[in-house]
Amino acid sequence: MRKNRYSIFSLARNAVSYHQDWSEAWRSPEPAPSYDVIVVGGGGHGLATAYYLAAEHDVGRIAVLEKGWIGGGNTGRNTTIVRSNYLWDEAAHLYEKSLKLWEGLSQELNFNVMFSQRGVMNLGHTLQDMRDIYRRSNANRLNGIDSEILTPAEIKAKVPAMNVSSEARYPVLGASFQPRGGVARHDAVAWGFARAADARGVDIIQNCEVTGIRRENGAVCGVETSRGYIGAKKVAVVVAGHASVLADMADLRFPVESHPLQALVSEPLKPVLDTVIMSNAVHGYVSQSDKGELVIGAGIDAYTGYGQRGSFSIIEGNVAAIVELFPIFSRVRMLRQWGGIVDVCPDACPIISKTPVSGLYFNCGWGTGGFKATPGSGWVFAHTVARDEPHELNAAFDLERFTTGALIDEHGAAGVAH
Amino acid sequence: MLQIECPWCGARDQEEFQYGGEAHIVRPENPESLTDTQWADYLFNRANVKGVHA
Repeated sequence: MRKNRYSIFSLARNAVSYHQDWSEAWRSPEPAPSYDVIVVGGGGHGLATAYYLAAEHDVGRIAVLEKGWIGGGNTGRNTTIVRSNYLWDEAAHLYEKSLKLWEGLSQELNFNVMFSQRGVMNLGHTLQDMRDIYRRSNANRLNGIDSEILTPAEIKAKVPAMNVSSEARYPVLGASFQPRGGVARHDAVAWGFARAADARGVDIIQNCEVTGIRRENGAVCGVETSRGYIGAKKVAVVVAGHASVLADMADLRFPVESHPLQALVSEPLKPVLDTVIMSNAVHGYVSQSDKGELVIGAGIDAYTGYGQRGSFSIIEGNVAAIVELFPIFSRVRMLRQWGGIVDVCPDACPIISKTPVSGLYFNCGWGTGGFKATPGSGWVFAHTVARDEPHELNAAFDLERFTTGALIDEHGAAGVAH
Repeated sequence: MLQIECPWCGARDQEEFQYGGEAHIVRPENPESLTDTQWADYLFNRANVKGVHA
């Protein structure tokens, strides 16, 4: 059922009635007594999971339960970077699947997610940085993922505002560049998946907090919520920073710790940056939004916490690095700062896995790098839940790897200090 | 960066006074007697409580 398809014609038609007759993008249904699949977590990943379950699998009735408002968690708090330049084959293929989905997403969802493939640059400031950059770039190219190496002169040509002088404290020695990477509108990807999932019959239930996971004979049978008990044959949990809270409801322990991750935006400026720049060494990453704001992010706060806020010392260090790289930003005023709750894994890779409880699936541990994976994560998680078996792309990201030792170390590619 | 006076070391950065994660994790007496799953639980799994930490 495709109600209210967005197009130039619908825009024109609605202009005639002063845009007062647009129909709602998704319903607000009362929860049914039970569903075939309940997705816990109404962020980008959860909504994507529900969409792909409805669009590509035959699982029956699906609901997404969100304790707050959809996309109000990490989906609404990230720095919007999309890329797939990860080192190890398993991670590279998963993020590349996601990138390929991003490339067709606005068309598929009939919703403009504003995916702007303006490229992503990772700077190197030391000899070892450059060795790691060459290694990762070559690994990408062997996996069919676009990657180039740029010299300081080439970087300067792309980003005139950057200080590439050899006199800098940590001079820029070069960079890797993924042309197909870029940024996307984080709210739009949540809303786009929500609208498309709703159109396929998924019930999106907000202000509904899961408070317990009911089990019978080692299998899930439903969830206790702030809006009553809801039965389910399968429960797919994808709640980012709250992973351990939900895991505890099923007597499970996970190898994740939740930390604040902060971000900030400047006042709007005229166009000055038309690509994404990331630096592991001096630590910061920056792009410019379509509103003209510099969108800046850095490393996590070292303490564990769910407060969605961090300490100023992180911002201080981060902005110092940005100003060192871009001296012309030294008098730009910062407008707004906030934090999310990132569930970091020991190997900086996600957990997309069945659990010891039959019918209970977890998708968490994305830590600082979940936004870029929004469509890919939903796609493989939908497969895992529908078939009760991981897809080839997420088989390596199971909970068992912490026991077998098959960790996949992507701290370098994560690009965010842990 | 807030400077906090430590009675032993003098003024130190605020970041040195931050909570460092779950405390009171006791190293198993006989690691060789544990299964891989038990060892992994000690090495990697954490309570990660939403609230006051011990």
